[in-house]
Amino acid sequence: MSNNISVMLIDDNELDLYLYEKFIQIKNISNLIVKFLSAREALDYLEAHKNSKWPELIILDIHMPIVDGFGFLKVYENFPLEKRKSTHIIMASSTLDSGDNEKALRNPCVSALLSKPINLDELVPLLKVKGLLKEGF
Amino acid sequence: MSKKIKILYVDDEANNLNSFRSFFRKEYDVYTAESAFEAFDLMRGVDMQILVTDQRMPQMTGVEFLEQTILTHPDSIRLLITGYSDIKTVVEAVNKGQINKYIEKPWDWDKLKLVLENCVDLYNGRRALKLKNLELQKTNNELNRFIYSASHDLRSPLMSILGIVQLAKLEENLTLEYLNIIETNILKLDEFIKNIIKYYQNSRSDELLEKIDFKQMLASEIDMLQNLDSEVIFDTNVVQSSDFMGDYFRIRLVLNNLISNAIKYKNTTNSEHVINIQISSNNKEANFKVADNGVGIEEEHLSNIFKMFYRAQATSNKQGSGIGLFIVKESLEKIGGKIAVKSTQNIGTEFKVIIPNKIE
Repeated sequence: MSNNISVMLIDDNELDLYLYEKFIQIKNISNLIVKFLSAREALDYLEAHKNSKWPELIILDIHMPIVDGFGFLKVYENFPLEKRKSTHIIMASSTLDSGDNEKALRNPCVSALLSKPINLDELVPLLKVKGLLKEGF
Repeated sequence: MSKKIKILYVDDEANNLNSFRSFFRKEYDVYTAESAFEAFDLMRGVDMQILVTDQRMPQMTGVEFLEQTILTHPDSIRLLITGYSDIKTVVEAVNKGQINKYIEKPWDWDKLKLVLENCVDLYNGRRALKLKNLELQKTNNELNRFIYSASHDLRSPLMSILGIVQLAKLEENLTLEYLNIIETNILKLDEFIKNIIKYYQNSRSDELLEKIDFKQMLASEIDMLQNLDSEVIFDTNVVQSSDFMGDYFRIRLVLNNLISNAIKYKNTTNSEHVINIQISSNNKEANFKVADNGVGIEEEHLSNIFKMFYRAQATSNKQGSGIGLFIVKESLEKIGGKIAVKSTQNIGTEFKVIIPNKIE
């Protein structure tokens, strides 16, 4: 049985997207996954789906060329709260720079910060706390 | 504009000013003032290297004057002249006025000449130290930026490998696909490390001149790079009208980076990927042109592509390390060459390089 949340993955690295997807599928966290290689494309998707259901979980990379994770959040903040309130954003970072990490955690749209590569031992309990995963996983 | 050292002499006795000026005007650019206030006017916006002042003056003493110049002219060398060897004045001068030399009146011209020469040496020494410090600061900043970016770039392929290993463990199955991904990432990491070594070699070693045969250089470069993508079509033309002396290692590095970029950033919507390479050289210089019909570079990124770790492309598995063109530019700077780029998105990119012939 699969958990029925839908997930959006945003990362400029194709391999990281692949890994997220695999992990999420293996753990039956979700089978509704949309993937984007750039923040722009992801924002376009959200805009186009203004009148339908948004993903409950967004995993967002910090380091991306052109529009990075913080650039994404700047635009995202302007979407109506009504749309945003049932969506959780987890920022993923491979940086060891504490400045970036603090900046991510200070952003009210960001639910949590995870280090890369994504680690199921961190992700699964986090999703349970946020109510995105049923107990028993 | 004169490159003479500028000396400002302040004294309320006009005779002293006149004789000082006539004695030193050949060697120095001499400015004189009869009061501290007149001196401040002369100094505004002018870089006076040596400040000489009499101590006993109406309105403002020499020490007070020198004290006030510390903020506006921190690098100037300060000299105090006085007819009364009063220890209190000297102590005050050293502590407050930051004077470097103390001269007693009446002075001996030859001695004064020597003192001024020493001041010039002191000034030049300080200036050289200051420039060295600035240079060091720049190197340090570069190093910090380098460590920040390099650690990120070194880590990211490793993190990909770790991710795949974890996935394989979870699935209890190490497929050929996973091994291929691991291999790709190891190669990427290795390429980045090799580039760092190249950068290091370039920044350390001096120019090594040897005779260059461009036809041979290009042929072996293409031979090596063809393995990256066998479908690429090379259209080459080499015209070498005279012997060429240059730094083989650096010139080949430039060529290698430009061609491998042209291969990397191909436009997959085109049926053919063509790289046009033209080299022409004469007794003055060599001109390279490397043009492709690849994805091109957006205009907003063009001015940044030679910066360290700058990446214009959204990355894919063909991602660049962001260091190649930086090394190209650094190498060309070392050998007196120049580079220019023109690019149109989805049409292609063209690099032009000029390298001077060091045959003399």
